[in-house]
Amino acid sequence: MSTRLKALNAYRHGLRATRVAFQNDTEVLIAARAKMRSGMLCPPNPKLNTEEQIQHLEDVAVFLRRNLVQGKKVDGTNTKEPRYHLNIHKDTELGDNETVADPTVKVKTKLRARPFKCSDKR
Amino acid sequence: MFRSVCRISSRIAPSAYRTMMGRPVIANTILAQRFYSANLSKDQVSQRVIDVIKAFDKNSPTIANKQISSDTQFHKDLGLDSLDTVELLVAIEEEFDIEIPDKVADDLRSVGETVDYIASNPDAN
Repeated sequence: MSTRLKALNAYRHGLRATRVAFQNDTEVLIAARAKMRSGMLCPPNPKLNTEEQIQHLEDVAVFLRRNLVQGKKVDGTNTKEPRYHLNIHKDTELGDNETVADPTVKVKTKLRARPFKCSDKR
Repeated sequence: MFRSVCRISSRIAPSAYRTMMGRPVIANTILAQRFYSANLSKDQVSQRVIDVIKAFDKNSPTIANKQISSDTQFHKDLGLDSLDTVELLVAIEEEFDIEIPDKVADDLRSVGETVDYIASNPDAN
């Protein structure tokens, strides 16, 4: 397969992955696709050679599918302890969480979900 | 039975997206087609492909005014570059809820070829 076709196929896989990752979030979906296109025209990491650039985009596509989960605020009135519904889909990577799921094991942690939108200032 | 439920729920979302994008969608018609016919007629496919192409005018607003027939070529007649063509085919995939295999998609250069492929795909709906 020529490099050109490989690049176009990677782009196709990337675009499809944005649909899986950003379903129903039109704003972010459009932004992600615009970013992907600009990345095709002007690669974000010029040090890599062409093959590596293509592999990078393929990896991004896999990451979007497996490792990104959308959260949607369930109850907008509870500002102190907001709750989010997570859209875990069939491609989401689910690790083996047996110890975490075990109710007899109590783990104290200060870690909390840190939800943010792309538009949030950090 | 569960399979059909899954398929319906996965279809509701893209149609909501399309409505947001300003393209009217008659949800009832689409659902009816899904329940009562596995395969779409070529005319239906052709019309929907043309609708997607007309809505795809972000880079070349002139597409909306062009006459589109089955002989129309993406690159030669519509002036789409290779990236545009990939984007258009992904938009068409989303319209019909299918994935066009890479090898097939690489060879689709005209509206007619695309319509033929979709009409021959039993998963298209």
